[in-house]
Amino acid sequence: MTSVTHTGRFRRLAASVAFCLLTAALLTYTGDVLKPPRTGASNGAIWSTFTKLEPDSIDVLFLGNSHTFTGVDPATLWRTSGIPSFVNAGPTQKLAVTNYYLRESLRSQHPSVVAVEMSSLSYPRLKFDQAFHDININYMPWSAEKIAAGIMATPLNESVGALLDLWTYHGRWPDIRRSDFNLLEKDRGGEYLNGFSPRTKPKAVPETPHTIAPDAIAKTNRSLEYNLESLRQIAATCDERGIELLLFLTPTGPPNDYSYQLGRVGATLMAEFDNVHVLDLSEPGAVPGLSYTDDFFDGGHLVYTGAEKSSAVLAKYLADTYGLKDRRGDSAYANWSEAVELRDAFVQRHKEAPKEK
Amino acid sequence: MQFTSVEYLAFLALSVMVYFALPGTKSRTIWLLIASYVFYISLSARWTLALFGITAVGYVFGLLIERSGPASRGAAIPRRTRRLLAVGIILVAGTLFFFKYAAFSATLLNGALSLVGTSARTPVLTLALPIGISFWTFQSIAYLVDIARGKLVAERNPLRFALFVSFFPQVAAGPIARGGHLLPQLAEKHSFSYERMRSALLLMAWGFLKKLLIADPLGVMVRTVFDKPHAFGSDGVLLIGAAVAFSIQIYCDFSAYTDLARGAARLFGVDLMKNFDRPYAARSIKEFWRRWHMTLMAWLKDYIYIPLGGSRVAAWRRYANILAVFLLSGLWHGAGLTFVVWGLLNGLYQILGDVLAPARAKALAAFRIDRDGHVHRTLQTLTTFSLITIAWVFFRANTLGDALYILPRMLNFGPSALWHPGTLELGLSVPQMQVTAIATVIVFSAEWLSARVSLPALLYRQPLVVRWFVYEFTILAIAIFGYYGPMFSAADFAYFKF
Repeated sequence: MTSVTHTGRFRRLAASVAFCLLTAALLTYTGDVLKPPRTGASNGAIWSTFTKLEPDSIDVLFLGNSHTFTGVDPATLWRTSGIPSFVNAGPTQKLAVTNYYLRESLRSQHPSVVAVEMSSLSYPRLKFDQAFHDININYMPWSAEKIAAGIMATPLNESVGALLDLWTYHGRWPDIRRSDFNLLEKDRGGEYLNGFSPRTKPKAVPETPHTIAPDAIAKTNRSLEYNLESLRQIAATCDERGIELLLFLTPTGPPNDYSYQLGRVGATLMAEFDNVHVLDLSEPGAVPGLSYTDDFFDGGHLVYTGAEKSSAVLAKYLADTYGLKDRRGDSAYANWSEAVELRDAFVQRHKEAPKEK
Repeated sequence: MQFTSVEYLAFLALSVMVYFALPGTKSRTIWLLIASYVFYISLSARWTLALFGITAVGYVFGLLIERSGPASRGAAIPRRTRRLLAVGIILVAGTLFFFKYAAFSATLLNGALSLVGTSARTPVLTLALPIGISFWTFQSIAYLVDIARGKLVAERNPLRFALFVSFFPQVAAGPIARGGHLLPQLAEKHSFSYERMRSALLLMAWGFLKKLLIADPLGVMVRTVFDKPHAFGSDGVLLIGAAVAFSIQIYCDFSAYTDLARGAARLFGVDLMKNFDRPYAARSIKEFWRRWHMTLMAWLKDYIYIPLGGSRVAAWRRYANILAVFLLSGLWHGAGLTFVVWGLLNGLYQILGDVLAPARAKALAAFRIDRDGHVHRTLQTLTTFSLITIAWVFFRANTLGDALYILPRMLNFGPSALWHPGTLELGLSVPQMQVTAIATVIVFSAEWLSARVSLPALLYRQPLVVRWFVYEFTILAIAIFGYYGPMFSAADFAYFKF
């Protein structure tokens, strides 16, 4: 009698566990189907493209926010100095999340240099753009880093949206297409851009003198304290793995507070770590030939021509400072020249398109 | 912490796991009390003191009333006990009045003062309402009265009594429990039961379905029309559609809350009282009120209507009693003229139904209409639903003026935007409206069927594959089509504000 009861209990327990696993699998699959496709040509958070890279195939990994994926062009780095690189940045990405992007990226890549764009230093601790924050975490591959980003770098009440795709994207069901069910193919395309999101329609940026209001400095200082902690963790991770860390700024239209912030944080980290360098391309004149009329599409973001100019400076700096090898002619990197051609054709198509995507 | 949030589900799961891991009733009571206060603080931290206060008053006066001597069987309550009971009720009801009706009364008084031409004014104190205050104050009053009437023994254990007032599945919006029903269950040691868990989760899934697939999406459409009635004044069909949508919304919202509350309580082995019994299947207003918010109506009957004389008095007194009960019901729902009119209108419906009953009977006999025939029953149900829907317009309208604007314009028949849903800007896309419509048909069909057969029992008899298919299908339907998450603004349950 007792053994029957025990057997019955065990069967019920097994059935309950099986039911929960089936439910979890169905919900995960449904979330994957409903999640919008994110190809290599999307605006950042393109993990599906990053994970397709050959392991240990890049020398420089760029991290940061939208300034990074619009302002750094790996094709120019290749063309200028033969440096293979990738931009693994996300829209409005906080440095706390960038910290987990770095850790996750280092699972498959071991770059010589990690370059973190620093305009996100001004992001306050408590202010979150939920949609962008969710994108940045939703598209990470499932890992301890993703879970940590969803919990440690996210306000408690937004963790669910950051970690559960279905929670965030289930409202997309009326727009679902057959291609959404093809999970292996839905995020394909644009791999040759290597994380660059080229903009092609410039808009003039007003050239006003650069001034910083005292209250802006006070506000900035509070954000800096919070972000400095994430940067320390990023620097420590790089230090442990023998990776150089470059803190840099892409060019921005004046006025901006970025140089002031980078100066403060850069000095602090350089004093604490040996592997940290600072490069400020937002200072007027830092990028030769940069035009505030033709090379920006808003005060913080470059169009592809600005990205090319700025990336050429970056390429020279990286090659000179870190002695990175010119990989052109290396048979292991034969497909990089092809990628550059595809990237050029992509930019040409977008230039001719009537509207920016 | 909303009932439909992941945080709540995680909180509930943790509470259940710890509850069954604890050895005895004492530790379980303490755990449930802690969980209940944590839940309440997450909802209404500012006014938790009010909950503590009502708990203290209820506990102390319960003991005092019992010590003073409750009524013996069938006899009147002794005078000294009656005095103690009055003080207890005044303290509890006074708290409710202070939070809920002080501002409304002051506004009415100021209106009266300005009518007589006086410049003097009473200060209007506007306070945020402690969530669920109308529920736990009524529950506490019932507890005191039941002790005074000799129907209930006062609870000695202060923790158990505190749990009775604040038990988290029902603290926000009922059902209004009775001491005789809930307290013995809280004192009992419940062992884990697979069957009970399964039925509780099924009930909760049903609640989620009604709330997230029907009530919240309909709420968006209803809000669009009722918040700007003047924009839709020429479209009578659309106004009728909005009123009907509200009838469905309010039922699905409140009954969904009740299902979630009863389901959550059942996980701990506690059965809360039923609050709904297919109210829109009612054939008369009287029957509707026996099926709608059953615990409130039973409370009003037991503690207001019967003490006023009930039905054993002259007709005019009975009608006055009915009006008093419905006026109180209106005020209980909200301190506002729209709720007063809603309550009184329901009272008037019931009185008219009573007065016209002989004439209706004669007409049925004269035309040889079968009282229980399908046609007559359907007509009765439709008439009841229409009358209730008209009353709901007062309940939902933001002001009395809005309700009086909407009602006559429902007769503006003509070309309606409702027949071209693609052109409607009611906050929902056509596919969302279609899903809501399908879910509504499923829910009402299932409830219609449930009068004939126990659907859960029918489901449990099916092979495993069929059962799992139904469960997974329901979970996926809620997860995909539900109105939750960052793309939607999830709404609190409507009755949380009462």
